Amino acid sequence: MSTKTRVLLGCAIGAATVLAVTGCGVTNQQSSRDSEQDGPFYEGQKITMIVPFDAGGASDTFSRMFAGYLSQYLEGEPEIVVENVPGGGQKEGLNQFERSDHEDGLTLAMASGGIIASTLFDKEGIQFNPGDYETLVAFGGGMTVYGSVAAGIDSLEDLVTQETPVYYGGMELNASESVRVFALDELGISSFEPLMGYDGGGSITAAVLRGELSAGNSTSSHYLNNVLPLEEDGEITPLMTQGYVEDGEVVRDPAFPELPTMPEAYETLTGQSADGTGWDIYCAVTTAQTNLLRNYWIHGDAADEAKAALHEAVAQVVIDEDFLDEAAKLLGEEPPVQLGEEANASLAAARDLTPEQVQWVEDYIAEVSTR
Amino acid sequence: MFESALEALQMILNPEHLLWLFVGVGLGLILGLIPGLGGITGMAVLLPLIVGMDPASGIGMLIGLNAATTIGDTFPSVLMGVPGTAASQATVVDGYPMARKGLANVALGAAFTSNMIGGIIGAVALFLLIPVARPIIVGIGSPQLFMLSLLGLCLVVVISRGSLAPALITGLLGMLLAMIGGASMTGDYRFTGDVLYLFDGIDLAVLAIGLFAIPSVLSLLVQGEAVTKAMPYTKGGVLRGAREVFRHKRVVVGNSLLGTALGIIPGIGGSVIDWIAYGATKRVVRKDRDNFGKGDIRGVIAPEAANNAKDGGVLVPTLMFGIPGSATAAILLGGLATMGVATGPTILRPENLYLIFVFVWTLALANAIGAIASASFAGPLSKLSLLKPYSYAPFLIVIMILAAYQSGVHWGDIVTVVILALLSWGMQAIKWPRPPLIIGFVLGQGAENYLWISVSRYDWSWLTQPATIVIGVLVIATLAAGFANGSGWLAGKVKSILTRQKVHDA
Amino acid sequence: MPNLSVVRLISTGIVFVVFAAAAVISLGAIESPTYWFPAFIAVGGVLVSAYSFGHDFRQVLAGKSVVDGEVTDLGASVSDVSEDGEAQDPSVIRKRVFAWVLWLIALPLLALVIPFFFASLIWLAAVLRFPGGRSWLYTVISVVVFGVCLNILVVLLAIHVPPALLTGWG
Repeated sequence: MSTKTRVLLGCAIGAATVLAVTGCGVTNQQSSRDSEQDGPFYEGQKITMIVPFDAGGASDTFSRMFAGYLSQYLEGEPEIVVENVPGGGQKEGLNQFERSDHEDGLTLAMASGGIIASTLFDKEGIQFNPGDYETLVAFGGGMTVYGSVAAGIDSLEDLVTQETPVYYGGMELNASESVRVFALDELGISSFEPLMGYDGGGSITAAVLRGELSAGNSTSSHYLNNVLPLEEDGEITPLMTQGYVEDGEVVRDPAFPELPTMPEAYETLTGQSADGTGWDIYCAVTTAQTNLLRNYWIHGDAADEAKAALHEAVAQVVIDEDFLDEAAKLLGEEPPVQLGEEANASLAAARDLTPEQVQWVEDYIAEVSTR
Repeated sequence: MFESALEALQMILNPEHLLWLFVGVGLGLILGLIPGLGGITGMAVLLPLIVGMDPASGIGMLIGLNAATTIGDTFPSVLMGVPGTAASQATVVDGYPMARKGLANVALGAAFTSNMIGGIIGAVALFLLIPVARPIIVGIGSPQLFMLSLLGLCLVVVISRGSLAPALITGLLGMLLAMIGGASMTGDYRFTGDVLYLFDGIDLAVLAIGLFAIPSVLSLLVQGEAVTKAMPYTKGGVLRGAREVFRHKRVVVGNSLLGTALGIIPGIGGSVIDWIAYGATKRVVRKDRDNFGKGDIRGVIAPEAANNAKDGGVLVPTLMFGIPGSATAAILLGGLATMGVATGPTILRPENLYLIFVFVWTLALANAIGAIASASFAGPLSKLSLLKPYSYAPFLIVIMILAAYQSGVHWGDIVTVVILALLSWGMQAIKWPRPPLIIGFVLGQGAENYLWISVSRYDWSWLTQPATIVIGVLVIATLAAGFANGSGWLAGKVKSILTRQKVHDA
Repeated sequence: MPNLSVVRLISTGIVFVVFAAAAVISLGAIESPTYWFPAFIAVGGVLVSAYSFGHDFRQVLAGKSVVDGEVTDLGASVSDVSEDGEAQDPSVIRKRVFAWVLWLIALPLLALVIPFFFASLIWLAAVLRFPGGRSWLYTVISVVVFGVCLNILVVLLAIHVPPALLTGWG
């Protein structure tokens, strides 16, 4: 064998060894922890947080920020890695969470209110049960409905006194949107036309500015970050918020203390009180949409030590000034927080709908779609 | 305003910020170079690094990445006929034939020069347009967006040679593929059966890789021959290409402006802008229209200029309204939010004006640096076209399958991409054109939503809105021109109807 | 090459069936606006594919080939003729195409059993060695170098690697 060939062969063997040794970065094996270990539960461990959204969106950015703080406060300071698992409207991500190891406490999941509603109304493909999970913390976020000055909406009353049809824009007619549409429908507007299919809060805002829509909705975050300047310039009229649910009652969004909630607007404009099937469902779905906008879950059957450590850490994160500041910067408002017990209660309330009520929603969606 | 501009420039030229700019550009060039991996992979990786960074550095890095990806993706497009990213497909139509003639370095030189000029024009346009963006974005309503999508779809007719029926078949197939998944208006799932993977529809990245990238590589392997046997201009080929760009000033500038304009319009995705530029140029030039598709350098200049110019345009709705004009813009918004950078109408306030300039300078610099760096590598790298395919092609297949997997991180991605690749290879063999498929796919879903909103909101009166009529006339003109150029029975019939009318009038 | 014109006819037929099925589904659910646009496209597709089939059929009956026209398409093609003008032997091309279809499917199949990273390296070695005809030395070195580079890329860019579904490794 010539020298050159020998050298080449040597290089090949050397590289092959390197490969075999380092090849561990390329498989998905999670290192499992030893069952016998003294010291903090999470010491030297790596936690995976499944975020069922694409990288870069509000939920993903917020989750990454939260994960950073959680990692600091967890005893043992484990590394928390965010894994984006987009697909199927959060179903893929949460199915994967269900498939991961329950007991080792090394996998967390982020879920938004939308998927909680989906477990009732859009069950195809769902392979998990939120009732099996424990909520560590739920961050709230409201929804705001605003009107177009260009379309003649200068105040709440203008909605009902308008002679031309009132066009209301949304993205997708899912359960959350349907209760907002229901609430607006009930206000007594002579000609109410919901228009679904806009790409996002930004498109809806542009359409509202243009007068293509008389009213639109967006998350309170988006409103505070992007629409508020337009309100100050007199082009957009804030109308009402979806509100939060406390003790079974809908209360005002703290970010908009002067805006009525949708039930309040109903009572003001029609003089009747907000009772009945529709409004009960409104209450339940709103709990999921606003109180439970961003949830962080751990498996219910995870090791007790893991759960205890997580609860303790989370309690400290949510009172950390820096965390609250960053959250406010990101979201435009300081999000309402529900911890452990309170959050679990909200989750139960959000899912507490009878089959008849579920059917009511499905019928309502079908009816609106075919108008 | 002048002070803001200078202030921003000083911020950018700070060594630390420049460093991050270089990091972004370097990563972007590499990601563009590797077919299948695109800006999105890089953005997701850079996001965690952004936490705590100050805005000028963070913007430098993200914008650098964005701009450089559309520069680097020209390498595989020209050298192997494999689109580096979905935005570089139109470049392959003329770029690859040039490589087959041994003119790869000329094509690359022209491409990078166009990239740079397009990018700079886009940056300047960003600066000029942001103050007047409001009326533009607000003025473009759903009816106009629908008509624009229709105009884009009519391109199918324009860029087609030969018989139109196959182009229409593949175009409609593309639109049908876009229908798979959830319908936004009602939330119902269409054509998905029980397969959870399909609920979100077919991903564009998977489609692009399966439709063009993999079949191209497979064809190279089957031929077994190098892309070209000899290169006439081994020295100075790149400069020759650059000089050609200056010979076709109108093509470069026109397409840059077109790219910027299209970037501003939310809803026209980046992956059709290159086709629109290609089609428009082919339609508008007077000389040698038939040369397009056989290695005409204008077919390289047009899409590459438009591609980079669109980066500037896309930032207009992104910064002004928080309406991301593309998937990478959406991630950019996330990055900006993490850094606490205000977007939305507040960006026009005097105290925030310098931010716009930071974007403008960064874009211009990133494009210039990326283009110059690529041009210097173009000479040596273009020798790749002399290599036999087995040296690189099998490796590319592994990378492209891995890249396809990144879209949904699901085995369904791999299954879909392989099925699409084999079907697409077959389509190529039976001479069914594939560009209409991807155009139909990208524009189809948007067209549906806009039409739905237009009809629901305006009944049919939207057809009489002035802007709609203007675009409508363009649509008809494009169709007529496309038919006039086409062969086959259908085109002939249309032509004879038109000429009979003309004879009648005479 | 097998008579491509016939293949094209068959494909047109299949596409016609696909469009027809879509049309049936869409028209059946036409009361819901979800299906208006798909119905429009599916019906259009039915018409165009029927027309195309008819046109191609007449051409084939007249003995003309339908796959000789020029189309705007992109990328390399198996029918590319090199500058020297020597076309490859059609039956050789046909065999290679068939072989490569199998090779392409082989990679995901192998990755179902072995973790993707290692499956791809094995696949690459096989491809370089058998259809590629490269020497063992060349194969091993290039595969190993590629492996190291890919490993770096995967770790640096946090690229997700497909797990081996059937065996649960990786």
